[in-house]
Amino acid sequence: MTSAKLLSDLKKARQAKNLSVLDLISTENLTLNDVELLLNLAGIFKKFVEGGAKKCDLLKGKTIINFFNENSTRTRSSFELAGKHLGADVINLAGSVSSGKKGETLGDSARTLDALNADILIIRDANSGAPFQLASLIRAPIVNAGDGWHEHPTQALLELLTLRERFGNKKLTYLFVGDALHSRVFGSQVRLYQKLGFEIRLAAPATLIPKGIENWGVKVFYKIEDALPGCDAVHAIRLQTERAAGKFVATGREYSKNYCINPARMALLNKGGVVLHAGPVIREFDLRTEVLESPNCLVQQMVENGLPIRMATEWLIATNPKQKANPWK
Amino acid sequence: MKTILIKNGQVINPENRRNPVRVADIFIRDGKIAKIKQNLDRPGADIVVNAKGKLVTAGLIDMHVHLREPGREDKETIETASRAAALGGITTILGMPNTNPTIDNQTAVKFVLEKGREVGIVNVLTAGSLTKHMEGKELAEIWEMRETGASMIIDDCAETSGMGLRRLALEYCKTFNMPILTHPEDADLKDDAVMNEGWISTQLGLPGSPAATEALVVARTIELLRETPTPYHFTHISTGRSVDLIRAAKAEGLPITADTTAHHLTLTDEACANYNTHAKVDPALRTETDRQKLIAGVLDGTLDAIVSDHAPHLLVEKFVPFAEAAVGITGLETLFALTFNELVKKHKMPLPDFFAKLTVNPARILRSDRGRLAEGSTADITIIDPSEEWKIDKNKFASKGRNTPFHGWNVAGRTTDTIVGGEFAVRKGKLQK
Repeated sequence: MTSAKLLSDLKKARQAKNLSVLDLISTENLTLNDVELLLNLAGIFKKFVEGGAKKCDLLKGKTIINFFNENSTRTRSSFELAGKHLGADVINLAGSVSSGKKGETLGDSARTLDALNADILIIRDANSGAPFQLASLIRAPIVNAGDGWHEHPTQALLELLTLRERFGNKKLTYLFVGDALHSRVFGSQVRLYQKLGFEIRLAAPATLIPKGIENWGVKVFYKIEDALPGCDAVHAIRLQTERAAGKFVATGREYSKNYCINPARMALLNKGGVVLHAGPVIREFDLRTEVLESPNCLVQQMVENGLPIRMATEWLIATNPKQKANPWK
Repeated sequence: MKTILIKNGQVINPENRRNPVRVADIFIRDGKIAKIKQNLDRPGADIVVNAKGKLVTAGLIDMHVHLREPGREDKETIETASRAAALGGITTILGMPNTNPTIDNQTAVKFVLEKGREVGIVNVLTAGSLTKHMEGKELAEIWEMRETGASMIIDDCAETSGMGLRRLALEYCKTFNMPILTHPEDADLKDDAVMNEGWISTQLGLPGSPAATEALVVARTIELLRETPTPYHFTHISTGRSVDLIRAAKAEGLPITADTTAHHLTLTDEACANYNTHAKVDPALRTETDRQKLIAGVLDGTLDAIVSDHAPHLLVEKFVPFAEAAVGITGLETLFALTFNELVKKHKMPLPDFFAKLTVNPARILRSDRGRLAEGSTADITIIDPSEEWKIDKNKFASKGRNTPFHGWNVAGRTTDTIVGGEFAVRKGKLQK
């Protein structure tokens, strides 16, 4: 397909549709229509990127600022490239270097960036809630690229796109394994999957299970072997050792013995069941290499879907005709 | 000194068993309550206050206030805290020692007491720190602080988690009969928590502390008190389980008293939703079950007093991500109204029982002669219009603090006059100094 055809497909799929939200901070606020629109457009963007054309001018003249206050290479590159493919001007700022060390508050840093008239501010912060708190302070729409233990919405959306490619609209039985307590990806996924009517399970030691998650409809298991049968998909959550999660398990050895997805455990899934991971994968710890190399392990597809999801997100957020209230007036 | 006649008020005296509430007149001369009587005829009074339809109580006592002076006069001073207290109907405040320098020696105690007198708006008392610099390592010169006039000694568990030191403290304070006040929280269990652990903290992705963080210290301390009974006060109780433990220990006859705060009686961890940093306090706001048990504890007498835990902060300290925000609420000016609405209006608590929590009970715990409305006692008196409805407005606070989750709340009941030692600190809602 030609890139011109794909661009016209994009516009046809979009028509006059817009997201119901002005910022993308939590999957909780997305309507089912929002989710469908994002996935639809991302599907077309994916073909566009794969076709080799890559660059278009949908966001020509728009400015996107990546405001990352926590180390990130993958997510930041993905957002950056998405913006560049769309023709936007993208700049990257590391808050901890630019202002925090000089004693400026996060809010004031964000306001300074806002004065640059950005069309999107993409925020990554170690503090849960930072994007939410900034959203009312600035006029630029905010996209949450991960905040503390709270949420990472585009990561959930890219996994959903991957699942759709394999399973269509099926309401899946879906198992999380591991550190749900410190995982912001879990935070976005569980809200999204509950909305879609998935049957959600979690297998983890009690130290890594957040309190009250039955309110999200999550069924909790301690033994992974009890949780896997009947599941269409299993997602291994990385143990967040950089967030001091190491102390929540005795040793990595003991953890992987009980929770690593190995071929025997994978075989307990429903026929055609898939294995997922948000990366970076620690081989033989989260997933055995045999599993990682299996055609039913969709880790690579997830990575590929990051770019189109972020292109769809940035296009929708930057061109929403509804404007945020201007806090300066 | 001018004489004052307060006419036709609803005089509330929890210590008067037969007539705890009655319409009467109060005559004040030379800073003392000279006479309380119906239809008192004193034509020569210099000032006559018409208190018809108003509540007349002993001046309120708030036994948990962070004065911030010395050291953080940018947040609050003894003067601004005194003004805020007077507007809130509070005539006596107990300052906490976590200032800079720490109130851990006689000179520092003297500074606070003298500064309070110099400001001369309300009675300013102070607690001293149990350990030097509040480091939880060595005992401070508590005996000397007692001699200098420190009212209590505070054992802050954030600093003193070790049981060995706590036992030493009990025995040492027993020597000279110094009451101990404690902030019961296990620092190890609390770890890096910034709120209550539960469904709300899970949704916000914030680290929470379990309710046992407080109850554990209460339980452990009760065991120590069995061996070394000495007057011991648990402050700002936040969990239902602590209330249960304290109730049982009191029934055993242990010399325990306790208080809770206006905010723990009115809010739960749901107030932290949307990362509302104004609801970030220590101890954390707990669940609705806890709140109901706290109310029950106040009603049945398990909890003796109610405090503000007034903790003014700079605006910027709340204008940051939740985990980084300072803990505490500016509370002197809202203590009365919030608790009056919750306990008297909603839970129909009898007025004398309610006012006992804010007057005579804290006075007994502090061993102060204030907080009484009897002939011969010092004329610390608060007059309240129970029907005046007003909106809490942080921008109108006399305190320097603006950190409150109650901004915009509609409440009924407001102080019209505050009399301290026979002089008006507040008259018709206006500060006199």
